[in-house]
Amino acid sequence: MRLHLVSPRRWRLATSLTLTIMALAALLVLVTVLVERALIAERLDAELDNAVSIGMIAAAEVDRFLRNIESTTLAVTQYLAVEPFNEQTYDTYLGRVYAATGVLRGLFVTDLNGKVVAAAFGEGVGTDLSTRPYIRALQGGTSSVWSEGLPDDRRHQIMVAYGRVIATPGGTRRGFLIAAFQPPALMSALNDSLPQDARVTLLDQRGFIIYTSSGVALTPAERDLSTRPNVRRALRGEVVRLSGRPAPLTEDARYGALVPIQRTGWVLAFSRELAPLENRLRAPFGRQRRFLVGAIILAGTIGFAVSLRLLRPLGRLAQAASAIARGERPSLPEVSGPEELASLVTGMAAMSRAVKEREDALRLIAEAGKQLSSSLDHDTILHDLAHLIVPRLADWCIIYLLGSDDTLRPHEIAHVDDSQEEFVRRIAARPIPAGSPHPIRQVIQTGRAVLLPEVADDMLRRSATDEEQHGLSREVGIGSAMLVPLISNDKAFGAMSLITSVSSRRYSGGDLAVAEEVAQRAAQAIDKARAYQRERSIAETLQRSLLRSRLPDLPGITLASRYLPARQEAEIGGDWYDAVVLPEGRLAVVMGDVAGRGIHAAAVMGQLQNAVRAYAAEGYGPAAILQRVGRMLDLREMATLLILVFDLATQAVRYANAGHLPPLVLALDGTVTALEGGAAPLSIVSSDVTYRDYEAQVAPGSTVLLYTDGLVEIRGESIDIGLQRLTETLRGAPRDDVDGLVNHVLFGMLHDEAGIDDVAMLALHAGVLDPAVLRLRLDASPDAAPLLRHTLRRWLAQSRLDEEEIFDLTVAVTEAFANAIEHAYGAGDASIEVEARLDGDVVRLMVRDWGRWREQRGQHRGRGIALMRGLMDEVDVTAGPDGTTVRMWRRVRRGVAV
Amino acid sequence: MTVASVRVQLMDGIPMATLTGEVDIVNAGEISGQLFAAAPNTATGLIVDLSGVSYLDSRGVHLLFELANRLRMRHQGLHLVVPPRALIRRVLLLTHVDSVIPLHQDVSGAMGALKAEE
Repeated sequence: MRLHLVSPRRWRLATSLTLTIMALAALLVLVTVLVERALIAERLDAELDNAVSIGMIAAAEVDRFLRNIESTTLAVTQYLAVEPFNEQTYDTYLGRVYAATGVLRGLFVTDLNGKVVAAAFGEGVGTDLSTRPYIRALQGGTSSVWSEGLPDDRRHQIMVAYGRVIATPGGTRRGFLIAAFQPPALMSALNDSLPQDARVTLLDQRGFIIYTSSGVALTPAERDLSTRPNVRRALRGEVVRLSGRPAPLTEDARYGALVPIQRTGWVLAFSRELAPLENRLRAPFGRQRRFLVGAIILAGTIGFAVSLRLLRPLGRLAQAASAIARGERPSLPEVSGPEELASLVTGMAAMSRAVKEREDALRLIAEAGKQLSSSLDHDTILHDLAHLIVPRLADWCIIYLLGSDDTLRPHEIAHVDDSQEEFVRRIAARPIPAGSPHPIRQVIQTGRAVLLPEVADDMLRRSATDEEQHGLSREVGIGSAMLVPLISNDKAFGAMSLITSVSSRRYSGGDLAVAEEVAQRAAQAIDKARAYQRERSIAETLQRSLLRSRLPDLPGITLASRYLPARQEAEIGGDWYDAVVLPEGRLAVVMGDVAGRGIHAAAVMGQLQNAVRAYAAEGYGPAAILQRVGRMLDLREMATLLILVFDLATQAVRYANAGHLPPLVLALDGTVTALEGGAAPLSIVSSDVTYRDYEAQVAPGSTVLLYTDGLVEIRGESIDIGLQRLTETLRGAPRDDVDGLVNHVLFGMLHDEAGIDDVAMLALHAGVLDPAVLRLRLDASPDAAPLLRHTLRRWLAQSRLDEEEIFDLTVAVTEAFANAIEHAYGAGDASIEVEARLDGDVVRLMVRDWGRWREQRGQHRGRGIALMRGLMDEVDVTAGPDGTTVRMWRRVRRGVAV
Repeated sequence: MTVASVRVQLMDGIPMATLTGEVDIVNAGEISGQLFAAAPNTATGLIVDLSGVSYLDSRGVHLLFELANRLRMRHQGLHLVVPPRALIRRVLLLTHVDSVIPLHQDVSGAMGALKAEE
């Protein structure tokens, strides 16, 4: 090399050029690294959010389990409270409950001194437990208590006990019921639904480990995490995020959360390994790094070339820079001359533009993944997708979906200029049938994206359905286009076309890759949304058909019901209710709760409802129904069920309770009583459990309230406190307005917010009948006849008529009703009005239909009229085109007892 | 559905059906079948004890007439037991059931009458 040719002016030029290039390259490196770090930090944060919510869901599951123990033991203590003590029956009953729950390690009853008096596993009869802290707490006056983790030396396992006072309806304490279980029993079910690398650890109220999924055997000292600052914060009730720092028990870096479980004061630690996540997040940036290395080498080479005064090859270097910008590997150019500075500047500008575009593309892909997956609504996803693409990737965008007839129809259209959207809509509004030459059909068929860097006029002509559309396309101007399929299960279910027009942008292979990435994320989100919508709509339809919107309308009886889905649950829950009119003038109300959510829970609800109705219609009593339903359905899931039958004529209730919370009765004087007496929930071995009917009298004007546990369970609050609160709330509720009562209770308990669990309520108000007049409007159906008879009987009995008079009047009104059914047949309004009046010592009956009078057919019609005339003092039939009215009256002996 | 039940027993070789509950438009058809089935071909007749029936209207009356007809075709007699103070007695008299089907105050009366027919 001949250095003597270098003039000082050239040296200065070359040096400043080198410095500029190096500075530019350094800047690019800096920008890229910063963007990468910011993107990774953002994704890490999102993953951490995700982990925190999984932790909260897991904690909610644990809470649900604990709540089940609380409600099961509540049902058991209700039963034990009314059952006279007998070691044998207690043992047998506890044994059945023990078997039915499947997760308990011990279930026993102690007397008030803490001595075991009956047991199904766990402690032997006679064992003195008075020194145990939970027994002491119960003796101290608390109604229920959760123990800390207790070492169970026999099995080298940790045990948890739940104790509950057994008290009679009068409030006398009879003893304590203790249920004990091992935490792994509950956690093993949970683990199946968690990510593989997840670790779950459960800490008791002291901060001691009572369970960990790591499977490591721990010494008592190792179990104690109470001194760790983050554990202490969680024990105080705070959700603590773990990011990168060692989680309890581990030295490797993990992320997740510590979530408090307020019911017991426990803490659930959920964590995942950090390293795999970081690797996954860094991977997409590999290409970016290779590009950077290329940029630095290039900058160095330029510097080197310049320092050797060889400025001539700068043109080629500029080309190389452009090549790198396109994402190609540069072959280093030969350096041979000092010219074309201008093209160097162009090249470097292209390079920096490329960096910016890549950065935009990465952001777009990241954003698409995040935004699209956050929605479960199909249309919202497509709308968001179109508006992510425009303006960042295209000037306009059309998303097509493939119909069942194999025709592509535009579903979503976006244009960078809103005013043009209508115009674009006119071009794209036409469906593209199978066999059309439009290139998008090919995309659908092959599942491969197509890049059209320049859209030629003959292409427009080919894809247009007619001349008008062709003209419109030309008018709007199409520069470059990408056609990208939306693929699910290896099959295209739609495609999107991305088009540039107003901007001079032309698409390249890099743009196509980005578009494909975005399309893939959209397809995943749509897949998820479709699956979800499908399941949800089935489950909702099922549940709607189960929750009767129209409750039976019975004279003097008002029913009101409510169903509130849980706050954050996507799927519907397993709460249901029913009300059915039974033979013999009785009304059955049913309230049930099936564990789990979604289609499965709804299907089980449907089975239960049908089974209960069928047995009820056959005349079985509540306990017999529970017994048969349990045996017939062989349920695999926890299900509680309460059946209450109200006798319209006598105001007596008969009920049986399989693990459900006790119904409450609000009397006219404002007192609230619980209908005590329960047994174990229906489940796998429910056929072993004997259910029993209980009876109570409901005074006129009272309201019976049935509800599911969601009403009394606020997260972290024990059921007992919730029940107390409900009793207080009900005491202040309106007594003559059942709708108002239900609203008052809902507001009082949940403050108008959705609860943590679904809530179902059903209230039955037994009003006093007006002694002067009884008005009924009945379906023109034979099935309404028993109801008519029993209601009339109840009304007449209220006025103290004698049995014979009641019988005669009932027959007369039923005969008139039976005739009216025949008239009403085929009429538009198939209902019949019945009115009964007590007028001094005269009972007046009126039966009116809106059908057409038919001449007597058959002998029994004639007999019906003969009976009416024979049983009443006078009968008058008025038949007209608008219906028939039968009026009849009879003087009664004791009619003036109003 | 209305609840009623039919219990059948043989007394001295004579079938007796005891009907209890309420008989109305809803369940008359079902009860009719059960009562007819209570009398085998070989029997001289059938006694239906209505002492435990708390409700019966023209549908029940129709059922009894129809039952008597079907039995008569097999040359079998139908006898009803209706205590004097039974609430349904008035319904049976008003519809002249007693003109076609003999009513008895108790089971022994019905037994005696049926045996006399043999």
